[in-house]
Amino acid sequence: MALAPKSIKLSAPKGIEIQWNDGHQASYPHALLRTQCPCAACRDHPPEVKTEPDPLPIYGKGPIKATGAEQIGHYAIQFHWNDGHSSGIYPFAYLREICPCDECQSKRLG
Amino acid sequence: MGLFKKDRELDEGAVLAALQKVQDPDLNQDIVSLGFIKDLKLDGGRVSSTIEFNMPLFPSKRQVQLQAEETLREVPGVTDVLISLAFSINARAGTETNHLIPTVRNTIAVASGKGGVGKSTVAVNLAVALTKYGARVGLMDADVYGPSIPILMGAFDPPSAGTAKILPPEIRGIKLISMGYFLPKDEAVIWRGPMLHKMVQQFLGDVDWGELDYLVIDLPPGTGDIQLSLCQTIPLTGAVVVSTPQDLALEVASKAIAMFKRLNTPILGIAENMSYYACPRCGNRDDIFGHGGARKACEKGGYPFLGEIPLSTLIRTRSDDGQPLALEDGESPISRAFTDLARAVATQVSLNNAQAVPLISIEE
Repeated sequence: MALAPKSIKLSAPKGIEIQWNDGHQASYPHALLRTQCPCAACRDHPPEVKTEPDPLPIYGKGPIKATGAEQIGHYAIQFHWNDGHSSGIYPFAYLREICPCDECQSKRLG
Repeated sequence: MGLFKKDRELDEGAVLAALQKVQDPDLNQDIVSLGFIKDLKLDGGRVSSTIEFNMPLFPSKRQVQLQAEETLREVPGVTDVLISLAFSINARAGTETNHLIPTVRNTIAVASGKGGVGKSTVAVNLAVALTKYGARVGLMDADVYGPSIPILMGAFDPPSAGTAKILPPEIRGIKLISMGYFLPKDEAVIWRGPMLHKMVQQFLGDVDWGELDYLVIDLPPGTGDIQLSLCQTIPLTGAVVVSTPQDLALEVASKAIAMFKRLNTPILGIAENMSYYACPRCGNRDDIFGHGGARKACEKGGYPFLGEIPLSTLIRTRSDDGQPLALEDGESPISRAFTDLARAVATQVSLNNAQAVPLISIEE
């Protein structure tokens, strides 16, 4: 069976939580997923991402957060962000590739 | 209990056990396990039932009917047998409603890496053959650069405007849409990506397809914007890859396969077009582009081989005349080749649909 997420929680305590169909589970900080946006514009000019609450909240929008997501075909997820961006299409394999959990990190280094 | 029971009374168990010996020749499984037996009625020695297949009623299904009747007649106590055939085609579990065209059960893309291998001819004849055996079929010409479906189908009446959607012309029972209807004859489409993306979305979502069992989508060559948009817009049931037996064509076809694999779109199989040439004068067979290349590629990659279509003047003339060869009823070998192709595709769709697509739950 092809690797795919089983469930995605956008507002989990530690960010965006993805449960994979091979049993793997990991949380992605919102800022990480937003900065790793694979769309052409973001690859060219990496987005500036706010992670701390704004000291003058009247002007800002608060820290970056995914506001929605949808499945694209059989292979990807598209996230909608509170900074208005939504053109990034994250293939399942790519999402797994950038998984920040210790296990995946050490696999990548080793 | 046995006192009033007639000693030759039929019971359902014996009837089902007999039917279990009958195999569906395409799915290679018995018709009871497949769940095809519907409305089984026993009335004295009289047995009646409907066999409901999950693909169109190809000639192979008539064999199943004959076999079922024969086996049932051998069951002790059976005096009369009445078997009727029906079919009901489903969508792949997990993809029924969550997309742009929920009334279309299966979407089949006809692709190839290379141009000129006969994608459109295969797509048209596939659609015609599926329709001929009872399916409700639509044909979407996604080749904006070289829309050839109107010519191949001999369908030149343009679509009309409905209240909310475009009403596609319907010819020989097939609903059609093509860029060819929206362009003057000598004009060309010179578009960048975003326009192509919008066109794919409109052809799918803004056309009144109605209830369809299969929507056959004829793709342009290559692995570009249109292919990607299609795979992003709907969960495609699968792709039929067309190639000639030539190494060059297979090499390019492997690029198309790689694309569908990256997009997790199932490959329904490879069809070999222009497989050989049979000289109408002497009957000699010439393997112009080599032979069996697609079959070998299938074995290597583990894809189903969908069949071979010969190179024939008849296919060419009938294509130019807008009279697809698959319309023919007779036992012409070429028309039979298209029927076999349609049967192989429908079989793969049915096998594929048996495996549910796991839904991803997204919680906000």
